[in-house]
Amino acid sequence: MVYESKVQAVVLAAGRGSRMTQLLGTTVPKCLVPVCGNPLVYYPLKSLEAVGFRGKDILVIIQDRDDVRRALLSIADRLGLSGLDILTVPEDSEDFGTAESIRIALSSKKITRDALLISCDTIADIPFRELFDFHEIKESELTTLFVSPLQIPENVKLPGPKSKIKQERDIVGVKPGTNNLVYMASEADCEEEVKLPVSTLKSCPHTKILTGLVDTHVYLIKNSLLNRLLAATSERNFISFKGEFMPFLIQNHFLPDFSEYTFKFYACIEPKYRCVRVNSIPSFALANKSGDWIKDVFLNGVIPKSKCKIARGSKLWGTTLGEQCVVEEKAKLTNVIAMDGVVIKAGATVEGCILSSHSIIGANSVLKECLVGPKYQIPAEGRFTNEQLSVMEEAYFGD
Amino acid sequence: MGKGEVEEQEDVFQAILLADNFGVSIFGSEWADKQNPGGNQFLDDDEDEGGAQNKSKEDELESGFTQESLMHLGNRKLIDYALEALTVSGVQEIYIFCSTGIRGGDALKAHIKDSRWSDLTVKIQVICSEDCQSLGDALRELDAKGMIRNDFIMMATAVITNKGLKPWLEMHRATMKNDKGAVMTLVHRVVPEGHRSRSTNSRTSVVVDASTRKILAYNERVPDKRIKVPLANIKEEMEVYLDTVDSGIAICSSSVLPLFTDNFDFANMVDFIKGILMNEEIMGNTIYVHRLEKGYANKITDFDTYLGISNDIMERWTYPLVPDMPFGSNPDDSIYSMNLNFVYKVTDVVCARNAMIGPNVIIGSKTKVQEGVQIRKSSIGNNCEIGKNVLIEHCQIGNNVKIGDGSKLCKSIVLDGSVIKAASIVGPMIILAEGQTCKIAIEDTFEKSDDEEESDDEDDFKSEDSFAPEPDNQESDTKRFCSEVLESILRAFTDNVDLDNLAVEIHGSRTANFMYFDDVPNAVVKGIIGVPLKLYPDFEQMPPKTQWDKTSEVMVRFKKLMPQYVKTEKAQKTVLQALEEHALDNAYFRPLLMKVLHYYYDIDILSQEMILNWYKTPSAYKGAAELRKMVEKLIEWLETASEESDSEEDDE
Repeated sequence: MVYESKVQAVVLAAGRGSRMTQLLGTTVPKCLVPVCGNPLVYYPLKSLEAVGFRGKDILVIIQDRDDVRRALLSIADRLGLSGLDILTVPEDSEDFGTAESIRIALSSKKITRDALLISCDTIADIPFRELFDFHEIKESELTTLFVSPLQIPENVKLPGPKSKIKQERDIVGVKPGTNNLVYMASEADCEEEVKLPVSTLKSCPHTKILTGLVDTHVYLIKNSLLNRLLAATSERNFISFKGEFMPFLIQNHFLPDFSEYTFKFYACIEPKYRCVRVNSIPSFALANKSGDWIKDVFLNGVIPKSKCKIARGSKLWGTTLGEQCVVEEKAKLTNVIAMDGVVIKAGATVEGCILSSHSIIGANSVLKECLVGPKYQIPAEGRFTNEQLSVMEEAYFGD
Repeated sequence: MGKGEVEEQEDVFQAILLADNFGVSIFGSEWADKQNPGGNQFLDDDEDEGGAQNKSKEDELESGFTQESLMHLGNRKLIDYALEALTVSGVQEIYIFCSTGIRGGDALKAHIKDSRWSDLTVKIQVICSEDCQSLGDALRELDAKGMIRNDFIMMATAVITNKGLKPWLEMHRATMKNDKGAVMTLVHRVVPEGHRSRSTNSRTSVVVDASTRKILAYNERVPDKRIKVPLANIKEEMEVYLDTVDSGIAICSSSVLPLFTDNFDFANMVDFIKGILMNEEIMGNTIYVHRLEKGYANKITDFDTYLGISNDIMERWTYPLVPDMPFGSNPDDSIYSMNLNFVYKVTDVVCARNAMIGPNVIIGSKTKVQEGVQIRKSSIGNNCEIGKNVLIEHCQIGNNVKIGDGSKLCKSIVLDGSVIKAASIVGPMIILAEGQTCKIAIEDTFEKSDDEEESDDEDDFKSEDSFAPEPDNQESDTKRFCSEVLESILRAFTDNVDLDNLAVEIHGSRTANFMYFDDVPNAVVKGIIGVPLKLYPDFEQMPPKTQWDKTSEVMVRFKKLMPQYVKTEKAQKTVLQALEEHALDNAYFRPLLMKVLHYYYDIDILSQEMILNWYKTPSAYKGAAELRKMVEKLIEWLETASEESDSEEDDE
């Protein structure tokens, strides 16, 4: 395919998963959250590989951690993406924003061409051909991609304290016919109501607002526009790319006084394709329960077996296990999502739970619909239903 | 209403046509005043001269202006366009509602009797009323008469459309099959901002469900910063329209009239739409909108759209409703022929050879146009005489008008029989009454030559329309209501009455005095501010510090009451106006005004924007300018605050 010659892919994988701290704590970086036997960052890389990107055309921005680097290199090996470019952002600082990451990449001359930005938490069957064609035809400066959200299977329940699974909707406003991007927001940013800016609507007095689609966080962006991000630093310090920089661009490119830049922003809308963004506990559960879809799209029909010790006489139903898990005798697991290094002691019964990495489930305990935090130890004979169990550390309750 | 019922009934296609706009004239306040001269009386507010008012009103009507729907447009009567659209669409019963009383009604009836309309099989009935103050009143009266039995078309004043109405009715009925609660489909035509036939005042924004066109949010004025849609109303696909105008056509279910009867505070369409949307969850009623992208449907709402639409007609956007097509009132109407540049003339028009006529000009029968005349984008009636070297631009000129040599007319309306003397300058925005003789009429000196004694008030009145109270014929009702509210608040203050009970009491007074919800903020503010005056007989002699303490005590006591009544910008405006009036009436209050404004700003009753707005809008009341000076400090402070918040807004 021809894309790679023009476009550089930038995988944004430095996020910390601030909306799933109960699950990740400080031990697991978001890009390594296991989904159907693979770390999260595997999926965007696989998508890129499948469409012909080679290692040298891909830049991955990660936190400065050895485990992440190692995992990334092993994935690159598996996918044959040799020469993958890696940029690290400091690990110790506060949650590093996407805009900040990109800015570092730009100022260190890591991004030199037009870019395909892709977030590491996007698991989507990205319609690259449609996206690139659309981008070319419209002579777009910035193209976003909207697809349908992955349906929530009926039997998925959210562990932890009872609450309804609700996917957060993305809200996008486009000009009918041309799909010019007029407005972008996500439901989480709105309080009670959606607030449509009148200044932009006046420039586009007939606007279509779509709420049934999901923003894949895949953006095709011209290099000149990226440099605008650098240039704008003097005016404002953008932290989030989608949350701050994009709205800034969209709102301003309709204003007459911004005419020196002839921005053309578009939304590519492909409702036939599906996407799930693993950025919260419900979407994490959803992704792991959507094995069939993920398997078909990404894994050639096979979910990789993880290296686990599973004792005879244990029973596993509808369960995914991460690496290095141990399941002892007579343990019964039903609809469980276990991350790496989980130990389930003998005789434990676990139903519909998410077990975070290195948690230990005591012998003969009974857990139903619980969320077990990282390194948490369930005592033997413990009984819990619909609870969130995690080590009481302030950092975990940031949200 | 179930669909079975609709089909069973003898399906008579009915329509309500509103012949005027209930005191709010499309031709601006001068026109409304002429029709309703009592409106001016608010300036000297103590006379009780209802009788005299009525009398003068009758006099005016007799001598002065005609019924609005009988105005000329393209040398036809306005109402003929609406009647043509209705009859062509197969409407079988047309009820014309006329709020200017018997006189206006008689003129209408005479027009219909003398014209082709009376020959048609269509039943046309003119209903006159003098008491109706609003659309709501009119529809309640029609409901009481029980004449409307089916789904019907409601057409506002001065609608011009070349679309068949029947398909819209069918469409509305199809909607009703899917949604039993559908009560109305509004027809909105796409007219981009800045278009000549879009009023600068037309700033509606509509948010609809894209698949059904059900209205989710409606603003009659687009807010300055953001259009808000509650998350609960969000649909998968929505559309926002800022590029449409209300065409004045609404397709109504039969339940619309009873809804107006049940909700007697629905005064106009905006009240209705907002009321229905607000109570959608409780009542289950819904409103739809039809977005008209092709075809013509537009409503004259003001002077500019009047001229704009007249050009639309001459440029044939409204085909077949164009000057050279035979439709409308008189079978013996002269036949126009169209010439180059959209110039329409009757064969017996006499035109000097060097007269420059066009584009977009229509000249009526037997009119004489002398040498050197220039006419552009105007229509001129029958039997007119246009003197030498006259310049006419953007004008609507009636029949039998004489225009003297060398006159210049621009953007004006000249009614039948007027005489304009030589070398006059008329316009812009002038309406010359029937039979009037005029030397010079430029906007500021409107009618000075004729009504010397009225002109002073007139001028003052014009410059401040944004803050002038609505002309109010029910002066005594308002007064009684205000004093009742004051009494209630006073009692609540002294006896420590619960605020909820007070609200109930105010509601009761409002109902008893036939007041609208919009009238309440005025009374409440005046009530609260007026309490100390009533409480302490020597209040005005007290030192300012004590006065402020007492006043603020009352304001704090009732601070929870205000938000109930002051929810909209309009209400804020009323509050500011009430405070201003109170300050002008009571010298003691003037120094306090700044603090009061500040207080209401702090507790979010008044927005800085509205205060600044008020400050910047000059008022003609005596002493108003001094008053504004006294609050300068606050304004300065607000302006700096507003700059700060603007930059915050950017930072979002």
